Amino acid sequence: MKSDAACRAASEGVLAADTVALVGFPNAGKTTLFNALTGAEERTGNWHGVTVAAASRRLETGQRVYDLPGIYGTAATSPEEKITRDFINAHPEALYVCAISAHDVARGLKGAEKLLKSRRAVVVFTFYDEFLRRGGRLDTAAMERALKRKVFAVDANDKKSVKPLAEFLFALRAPADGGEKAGAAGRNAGARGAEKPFFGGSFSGYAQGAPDLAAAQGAYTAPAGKTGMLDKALFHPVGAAAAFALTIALAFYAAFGAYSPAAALLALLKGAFSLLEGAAERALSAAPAWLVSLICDGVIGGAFSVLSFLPQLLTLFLFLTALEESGLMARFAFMSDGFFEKLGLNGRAFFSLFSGYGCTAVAALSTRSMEDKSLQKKTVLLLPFVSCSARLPVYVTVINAVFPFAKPMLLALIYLGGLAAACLISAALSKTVYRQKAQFIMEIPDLRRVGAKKLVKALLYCAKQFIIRVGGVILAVTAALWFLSNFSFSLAYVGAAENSMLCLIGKGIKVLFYPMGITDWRVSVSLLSGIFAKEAVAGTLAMLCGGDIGALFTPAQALAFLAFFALYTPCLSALAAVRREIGRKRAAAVGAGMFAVGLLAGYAAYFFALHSAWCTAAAAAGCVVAAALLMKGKTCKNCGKCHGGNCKYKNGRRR
Amino acid sequence: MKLSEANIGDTLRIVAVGGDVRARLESMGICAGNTVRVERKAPLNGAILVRVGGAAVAMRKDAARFVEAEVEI
Repeated sequence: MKSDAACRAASEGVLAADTVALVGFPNAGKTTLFNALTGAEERTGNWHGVTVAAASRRLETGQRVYDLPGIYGTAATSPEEKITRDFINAHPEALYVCAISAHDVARGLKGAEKLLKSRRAVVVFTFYDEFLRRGGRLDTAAMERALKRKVFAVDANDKKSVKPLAEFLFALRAPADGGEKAGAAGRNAGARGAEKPFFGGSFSGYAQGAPDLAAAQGAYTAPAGKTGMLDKALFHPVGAAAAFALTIALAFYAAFGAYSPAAALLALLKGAFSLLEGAAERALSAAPAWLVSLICDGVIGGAFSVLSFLPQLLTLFLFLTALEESGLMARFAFMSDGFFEKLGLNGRAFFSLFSGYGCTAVAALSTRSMEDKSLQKKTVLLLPFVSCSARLPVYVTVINAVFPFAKPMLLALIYLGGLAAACLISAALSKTVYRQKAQFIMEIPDLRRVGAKKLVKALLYCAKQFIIRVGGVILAVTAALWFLSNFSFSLAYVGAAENSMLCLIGKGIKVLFYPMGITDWRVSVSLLSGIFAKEAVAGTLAMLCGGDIGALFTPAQALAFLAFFALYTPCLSALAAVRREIGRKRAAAVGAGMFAVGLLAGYAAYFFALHSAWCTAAAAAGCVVAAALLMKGKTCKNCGKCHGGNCKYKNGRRR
Repeated sequence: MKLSEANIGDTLRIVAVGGDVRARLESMGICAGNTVRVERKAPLNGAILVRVGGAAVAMRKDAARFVEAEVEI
């Protein structure tokens, strides 16, 4: 049975096309179009250097669609071009689909001109969606009149957009019966007109006559780049730096600040959960102690610890999404790239790294949208060097108790030192493990408003992913901590007592701290609890020492303790986030590695504190040597004596 | 000349694109025959911003070195 389209085609005298061939420049999305029309999964890629035959697929309609490797076969400069030219010569009856990128109309039409004049062809403009988005305009009807050929404008990735073209092509299949004459006539006519302009009846598909390229130019307007006031400021070095700093500060404060909306939300959450806990305690007043503890500390506490991340996470994510969608992040990345490239980072990576000052887990999750996956891995690895806000109460407690006069200096050392260490390690890694590629190539889109609907959708997705992927791990961790700190090794419920498993393990590992001069088991137990949650350390210390922390450390030991605490294993929630982003093995490596780094730092700090005179002298000497080496610079290749520049011994002879 | 050597305001016609960044560059519209205009250069010897086909594309010097182009008056 003939389809309506085929009947219409036959009655109009449109000649059938059993063979369809796609031609065009490589950037025109030919293969994407081929895949869309044929349902194939050919890989788009670089044909250059590979001699391939034309890819082809047979459709259900019986037609065969070809994706020709060359361009228009005009100049046989490469094997691909020769294949295309041979094909065009051998198939005068085929219908040629000239795929032209809408960004490249002039060049595409010029290239297709000869083919349009000598074969049956239709023109398809691809990347139409992007073209429109950038502000371009195409008058399809006017273009058809100018080219005297059928014109389509599609987004090759959108099935709906390709449908009209597909239907047009499929309608041209040789009808099963009766239309055979039309099919045969087409082939004959094609053979006759192989080298001459194609003549036929009054076809809606392929009119006669040469395409008028000059008129075609008038049928479309290329998008023009827009530069507004905001762009003038953002592309100015000072403006860009100020805007970037302001944005980071704003995002940071909104997510982690004491009086921010996120903090308010967290307080609300806390309040709700304490009410819940109180109600549970009252309801379970007759239950055994372990059950009360399980429900209140374990289950309710666990649920709270998962949800407590959401206010900060969602706020930071909101900022990131808004920055990326609006085009601001692209501008910041562009302007700051010169600076960050030397460190082996970029503006986007820095944003996530800096967020680590708020919360390591949230910062790790914020690297998700980084395009450069290698840089993402590196950034996540660097995060443990940046002190999260949960560590601050411990710093303050210990510093206040032991050497309060040194507080500003020590805090500055810890915070800035962390960032400096991260930058140095990043620079080192980029020369070895994570070698930088020249791949910083990105489009800077025009500034645009971000839709509220899009933001809300993104936030909901982020929340859902967090709860599902990371939430489970946090719950498990909280449950484990609850179990270890409330039960003895004989699995009897002891509450938070000294013979709980956690305390006994802490007593066991205290030997690790002897080289720091720390022998008190209460310190090692507190630090162990810090692996579960850094906030727990201050509380555990206070509880075990009865409030007098100053008696616990000498200044040297306190210094060692701070060094260890600043660097050692991030909390398990952070490790869960790290695991989500860069994998289980790397997360385990981070956990173990940072513990070792912390120990080494603690040992070194203790040694420095005890022998501070010698160490300072050695460090000063080291600086002098390093400065001398840097000043020396490179040795001249010609004479081996001078330092390049004005070589007196050019070509081995004295000038 | 290489695209990395061009000055701000130059309009160039691309002659050839090489290197392993070729596929990425071509997908952004940086391919032989196209016209680009160098719009900006980032500070501190950073990336350059070119306008091609209505889009603004940024790339580092080491990617721009793979693009051969000639100046159009």
